[in-house]
Amino acid sequence: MTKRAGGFAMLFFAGAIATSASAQTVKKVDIITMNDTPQLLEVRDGLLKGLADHGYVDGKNMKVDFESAQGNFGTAQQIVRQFIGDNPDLIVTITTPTSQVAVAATKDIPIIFSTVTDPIKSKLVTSLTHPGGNASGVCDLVPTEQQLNVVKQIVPKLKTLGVVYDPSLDNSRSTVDSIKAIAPKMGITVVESPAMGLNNVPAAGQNLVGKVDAIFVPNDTTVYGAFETLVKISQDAKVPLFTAERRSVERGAIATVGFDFFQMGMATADMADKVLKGKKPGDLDVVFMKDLPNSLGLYINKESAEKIGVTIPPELLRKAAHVF
Amino acid sequence: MSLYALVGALETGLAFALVALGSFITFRVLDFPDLTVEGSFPLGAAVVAKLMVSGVDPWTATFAAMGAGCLAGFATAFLNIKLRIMHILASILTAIALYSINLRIMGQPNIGLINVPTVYTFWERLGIPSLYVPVVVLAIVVVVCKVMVDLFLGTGIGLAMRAAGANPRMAQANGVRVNLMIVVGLGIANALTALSGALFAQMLGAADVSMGIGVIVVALAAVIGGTALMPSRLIPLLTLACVLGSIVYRLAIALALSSNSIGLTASDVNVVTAVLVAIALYLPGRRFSLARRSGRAVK
Repeated sequence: MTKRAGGFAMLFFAGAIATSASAQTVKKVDIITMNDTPQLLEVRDGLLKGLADHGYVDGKNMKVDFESAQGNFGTAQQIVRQFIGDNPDLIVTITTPTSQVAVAATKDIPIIFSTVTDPIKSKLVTSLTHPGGNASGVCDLVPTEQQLNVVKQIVPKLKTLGVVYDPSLDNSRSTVDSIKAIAPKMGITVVESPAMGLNNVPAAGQNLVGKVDAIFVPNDTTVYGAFETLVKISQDAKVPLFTAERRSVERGAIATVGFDFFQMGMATADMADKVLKGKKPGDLDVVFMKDLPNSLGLYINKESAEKIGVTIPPELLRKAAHVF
Repeated sequence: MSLYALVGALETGLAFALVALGSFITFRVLDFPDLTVEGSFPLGAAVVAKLMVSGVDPWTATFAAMGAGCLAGFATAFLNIKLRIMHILASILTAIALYSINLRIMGQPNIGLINVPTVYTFWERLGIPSLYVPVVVLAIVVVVCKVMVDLFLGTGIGLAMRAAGANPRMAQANGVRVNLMIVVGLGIANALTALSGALFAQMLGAADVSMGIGVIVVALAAVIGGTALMPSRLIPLLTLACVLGSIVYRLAIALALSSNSIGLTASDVNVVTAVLVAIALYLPGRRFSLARRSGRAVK
């Protein structure tokens, strides 16, 4: 009898140790986004795929909680508090506002931000290298000089460039300011056409017809939401349309030297993996998508170009990573 | 619900309780549907953020934000009284204009307020754990504002304002300057809203130009829900109902967020709001009939 009792005790302890060990290796990852527009959801999908590639399986050794604040700041604050109460191993924040809320709310839980354009201006970090603190992340700063170079190569007579963007989005504002800073050196005048909200996008596009030689759209989730209307305006009015990311080229823009949001999600997963393996975000340098090897590719949509009546220089077609 | 989620609900509930108080004054007392709050809430945030990053101390900045909110209220009053624009339209016009004005004030769509001394940092230095500081500060501010509103509505001007809202023609005939009451009421209500925006931005860690979206829904849910569940003819109880309504609303959201088993997410907030307000409007009617039945029971 004692032998059996001893046997049961051993089994019991083995079971307890096994479950506690597996409980210890379940990493809790809480993800918050401000909106669930398609681009931002692509970031989340890239993040989850990247985490899976690193060996984390939701349900087995990782527990993921994803929440969208639906554009509501009060809800964002509550979600962040809720996450903190969860005591996760990592909080991933998509977009600048949620990153700010998270960084303000906790100095202990590791935070990896994503889809932020200027983390220093948004007060998320005080330095891009070795930021210290509990936050670091991936930035989507657009390589504006390279973008404008491509535009100029495809539209050699470019004198005036129109920009359609949502002025309430910090990321877009930063990109537009960057374009306005380098444009004069390239002999280009910039005409801004703001669209406050999805419904104003077509009017903002039409406003530029006849005034500009080409239109550029920064990584702006509002404009991308109504992108097809811009494509139609561009093709009807024969104004070349350029963007900052890849999927919009597939949707009808002429070209871009850009990454895409899914890739950004995967880059975020790489940083998340480092944190989950024990590194502190403060020790991780802030990553810029445009600086990652293989992230910037020239993407061209020849069909779109033909519809607008623009010829793509053959050397660009040869250099292109992909031609739609 | 974890302690943190509870604290989150309390602090956001208290922050928006100020907007609820303001909306009580406009919607209930003055009978003036005022949607200016969609603009004056982020106006408070914009003013306080711009001043604070320019080096102004948080207390002065917060008071300045209140002043700005008051001016926004005056703008709506001007559109309504002098230009004879219908009240709800006048308030929408001001709110729309404020969107651009707020962008101008901030110079950019978003100003970060992390690691900037706020009205909360002072209390943190007193030794209160930083998790509870916003709740403590906001509780004090809400109580003070509520009491001041209650007292004001009992003064001569306050009673005149109530009369103006209840029956403008009768009040005017009795010597009440209805137009002045509208100006004063809108000024106070939007000053409270801007105060709410200023305190909320400092708690959140940022002022963002799109912060005002959805504020009116939250305020109305609090006012309608609160006063329907706690009906009274006494002003202090009505304002209390508004404050509690705001907190209960946030608690409901926190519950929805934490009950992953039910499958509710933050995206369902709007539906939760609608259901809550519907229940709040339906319940009092039922209670009344139940009471009548039991009261009339003859033995």
